[in-house]
Amino acid sequence: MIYIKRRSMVSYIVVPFCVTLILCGVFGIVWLRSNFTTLEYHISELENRKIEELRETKMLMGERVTLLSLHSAGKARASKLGMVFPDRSKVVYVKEGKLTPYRASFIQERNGDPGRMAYKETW
Amino acid sequence: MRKRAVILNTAIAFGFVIVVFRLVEIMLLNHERYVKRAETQQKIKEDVRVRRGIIFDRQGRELAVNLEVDSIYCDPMRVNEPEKSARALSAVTGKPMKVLLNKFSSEGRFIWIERKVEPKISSRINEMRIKGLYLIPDAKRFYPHGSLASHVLGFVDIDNRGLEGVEKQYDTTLRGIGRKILFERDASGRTLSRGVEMESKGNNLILTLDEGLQYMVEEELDKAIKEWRASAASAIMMDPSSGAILALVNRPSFNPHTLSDSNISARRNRAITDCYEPGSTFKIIIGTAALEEKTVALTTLFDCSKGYAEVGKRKIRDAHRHGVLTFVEVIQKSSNVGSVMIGMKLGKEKVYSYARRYGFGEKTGIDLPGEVSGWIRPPEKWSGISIGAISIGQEVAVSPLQVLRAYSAIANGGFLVKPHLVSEILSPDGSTVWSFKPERKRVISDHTAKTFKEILKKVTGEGGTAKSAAVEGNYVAGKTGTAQVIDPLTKRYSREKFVSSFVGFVPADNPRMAMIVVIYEPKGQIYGGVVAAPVFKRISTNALSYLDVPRDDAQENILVVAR
Repeated sequence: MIYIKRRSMVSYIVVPFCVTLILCGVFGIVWLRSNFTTLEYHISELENRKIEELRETKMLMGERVTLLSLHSAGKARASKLGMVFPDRSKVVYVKEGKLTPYRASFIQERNGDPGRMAYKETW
Repeated sequence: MRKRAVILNTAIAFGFVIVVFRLVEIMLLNHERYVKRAETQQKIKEDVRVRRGIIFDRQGRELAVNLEVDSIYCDPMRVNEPEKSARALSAVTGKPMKVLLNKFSSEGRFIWIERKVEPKISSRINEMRIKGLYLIPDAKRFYPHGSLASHVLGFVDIDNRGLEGVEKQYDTTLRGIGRKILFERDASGRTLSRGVEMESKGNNLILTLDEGLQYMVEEELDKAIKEWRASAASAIMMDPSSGAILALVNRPSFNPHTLSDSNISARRNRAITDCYEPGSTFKIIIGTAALEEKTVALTTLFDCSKGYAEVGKRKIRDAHRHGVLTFVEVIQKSSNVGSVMIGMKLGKEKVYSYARRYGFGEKTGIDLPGEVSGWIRPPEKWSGISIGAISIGQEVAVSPLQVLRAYSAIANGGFLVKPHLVSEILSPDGSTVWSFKPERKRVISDHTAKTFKEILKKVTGEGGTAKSAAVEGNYVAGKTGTAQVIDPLTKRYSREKFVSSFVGFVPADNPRMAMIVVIYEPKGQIYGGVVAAPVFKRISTNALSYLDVPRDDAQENILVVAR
């Protein structure tokens, strides 16, 4: 008797599918790995750029602090900017809490204690 | 046909066997050797960049930072045309050709050409692409405010190690921890991501110093030096309740970027490293001791009409003759005769004991290098005149900081505080690693401190020696000092050289700051009340505005405005 083995429909699909899967898997692994390496290169470039930017930032910050320092500004403040330290005798303290309006006057008296100011309250 | 097929199959099989053998040899037998070789080619070690911590003032303003610069080195074996390269490099760096040629012919594979060059120089060298010459990233310490607070901050050496000041005292804290990291590169030398931070930063310091107050004190001290043609000056401003140093200035000074332009004496932190005889400012000892021990009352009378007091075989004289003075007036008018009498009433044991209580003869413990302890001899070594001399501030050596600390005890109700410059240490990510905890010990009672404070207020009032220290709107408590200097040639007190000083605190009843001003060898005038006290006044006037301290009469004089 001669037996002829017929292949089923399933084997026509499963075998190529498995082979394709394996090939895709291998390709996928290689592709992912290649992508990772590309990303690492890219990150490395960004890191180098970050170092350069930080370098520049530190320079600029150092310059900024120098320009803002009283030591640098001090020389210019009086001559060019007309800035002086505040005169404490001209500082006024304001009392809160009164509800009715007042008209106040500002009288300066020197009673042997220079700089003391007296006030007069009118309404 | 069949024979040819067999031969062909055998040849193919033989080829595969050879390949398999070779693979086994590479992957199994010589695996370790090839892995090591690959690692040598693919992986390189690089030093993590170590960056020193930043120093801030109390308001968070930078006082010391790091700039990223390059240093140049060469590999002599790779330099192709030494003469041509040296010529090109010399034109850019300004270094003599001979020096560069010597370096190019040195032995070794790593020779420094120049450290920490300016960015424009390093970019030009980069463009020139001289074979054998390389740039390496480096950090340069930069002080943005120049010479401001130079004695406090100090400076570093070429390798960023602290040599003076806070930079030295906190060197270990400021320095980052160095380490090497391993990362991969490809055949063309491009590197893959390192995956870690390439910078290791040290801890940052927050100082108690205030840039604004420091600037004010420096400005006024410069004016005083110029006005009195003094040889040197020091001033320290401190919070009397906590010991926080707000400003510390010495003249002459130096620029930490150009150390070679200053001489070594300019770098001395005189405020803590130099001693002087304090003169009348030392009368705090006999004054407070007499009150504490109840040896005198405020109205006890002292007959100073003779103009001198005899101690041993010597006479100690007053600068101006007085009549009969009360205890209060002895301090107010700074009578030497009265002070000697008080000292003799107390006795040498008590005078010495109170001097030691106030911290004289020992270091204050400030966090700066080079502090001296000063000296005061123990009573058993005193001569017949010592009780008189020490009562008026002679025969003792003190530093300005010690005197300031003693007067701060009067300001804060009787406590000796520990002066300090660093209030906090922060990690690079901003968390607090350490913060200062105030230390203080009681030296006199609160009552004695308050009583003596009232007396010191009179010193700057009518009839006192320091009217010129009075600040408009606030009461000042303080003491003048005019001390003779020992002439090193004659070993006697000089008639021309003096140390003028004023130490005080303001506002007297709620002190926000205590300050000492010391002017060494002024010309034209010598008295502390004339030379140093006006400096105190000018600094205090500006500082009180800066600190927004209200006038003492603020509550009484309030303006009511119309709505």
